[in-house]
Amino acid sequence: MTDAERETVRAFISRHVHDLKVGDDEDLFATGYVNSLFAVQLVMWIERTFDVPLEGTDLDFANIRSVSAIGAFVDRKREALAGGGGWTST
Amino acid sequence: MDFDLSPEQRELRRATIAFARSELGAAAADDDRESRFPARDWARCAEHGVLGWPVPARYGGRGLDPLSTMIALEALGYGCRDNGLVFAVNNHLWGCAVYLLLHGTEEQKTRYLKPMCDGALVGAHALSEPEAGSDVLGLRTTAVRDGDHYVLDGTKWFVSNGPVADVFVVLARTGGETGGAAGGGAGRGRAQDALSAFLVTADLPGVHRTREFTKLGLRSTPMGAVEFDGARVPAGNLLGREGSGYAIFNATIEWERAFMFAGHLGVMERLLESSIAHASSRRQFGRAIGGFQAVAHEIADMKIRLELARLILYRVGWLKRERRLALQDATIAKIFVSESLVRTAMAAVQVHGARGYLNGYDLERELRDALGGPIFAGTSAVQRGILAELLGLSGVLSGAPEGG
Repeated sequence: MTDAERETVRAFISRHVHDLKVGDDEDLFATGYVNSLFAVQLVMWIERTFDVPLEGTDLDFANIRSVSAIGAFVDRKREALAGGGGWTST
Repeated sequence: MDFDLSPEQRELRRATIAFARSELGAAAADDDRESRFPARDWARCAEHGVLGWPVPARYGGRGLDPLSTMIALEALGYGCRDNGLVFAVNNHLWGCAVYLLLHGTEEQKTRYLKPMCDGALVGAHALSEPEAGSDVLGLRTTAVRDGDHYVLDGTKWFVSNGPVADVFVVLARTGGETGGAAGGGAGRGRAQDALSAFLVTADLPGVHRTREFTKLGLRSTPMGAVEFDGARVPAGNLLGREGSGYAIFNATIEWERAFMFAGHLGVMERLLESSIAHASSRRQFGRAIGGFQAVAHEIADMKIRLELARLILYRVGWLKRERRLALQDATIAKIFVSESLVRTAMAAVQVHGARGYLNGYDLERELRDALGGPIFAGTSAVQRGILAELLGLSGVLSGAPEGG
């Protein structure tokens, strides 16, 4: 994730935590800044903003608990995109 | 973008309708009257492969992709007159089997999915409690680690399939009353990490299927309470890791919110066809009643709702086939499809007049069955709150941010 993209993440989160400045490694959910539905909203925003197709199982708090975690998560998804893959039925 | 069904999907639809019409629902009216689970029809569904449609072949299922599963469920809803049976199948698949498919270990899948596909085990989702339903983080059932087991205590209510179920997916609190104050576990500190998901079999000591609820509709799906009184559940029955129950629930609920309503499409089409047939043959004032604009417009609206409902559900099926997140679309689908069926069933009753209102013509049962849709799997009010929050409005459903 580029620095500009990381700033986009910071700005989005800031808008949802009453314009507070959140540290890159600060746990969004432990601090009580956001409610649990924000997790889903955040994941949907990540999918749309960074154009990375996400799965239901990506809804893991470990992926989105901080700005740094989000950056690493997006990087992992981008790397995995080359592999692709749909429903496995066998 | 291709809106056509493949030849395989067309054949699946044809075969499912033929099976459902000829093999299922013969005693639907009696089973409804007696609130009786149609065990023989359930066995026929198992023989036909219905109970394992989305389950990979190596676990005993048919291995249909999600979009094809959606199409098959629509066909089942169309061909089967017993909406309660279809609802029971959906609870088995989307309240239980899908949790195993998405989050189960290889050992758990191997042990449970095959008997769930062949009809030996009936699955259910024990989620709601007397004091908690849609507020999942407020669940009170506890699970405390004790050696190689978790000890479960608590009461689950409104468990569809509960009175006949052999295996339950159960969400319980492993992180203490306030997210980590007691009970230890990985979730110390975060309410979202306080829950864990378990597979609990009904034959374990301390698992009691207690009261059975009587319902307005979908009466052939039994609904009951399940109590856990010091039930010792093997640690090997934990789904995912300890403390991941809420994430598992969020990652899985989109399946239930959409796939459980595919059968509604079939019912809407059946009601539309019945209404057209009646409006074309019933004559009043010297002409078929379908010639009156008041009746014709009701029927036109039935068709509009059906086609729009089909589009949103097929879109969810496509998203899941592509392994994509579908929570927003599934939430829209849940609201629109369930409410559309109520309006269509209501319109069908109106079009049929007295024949719509009386026992013995099926339509009054269709209306009663439809009324549950906007309530179960999260009410329309809750779904609209979720949707609004997903769109960025805070505090609509959940109040002030936690800790804020």
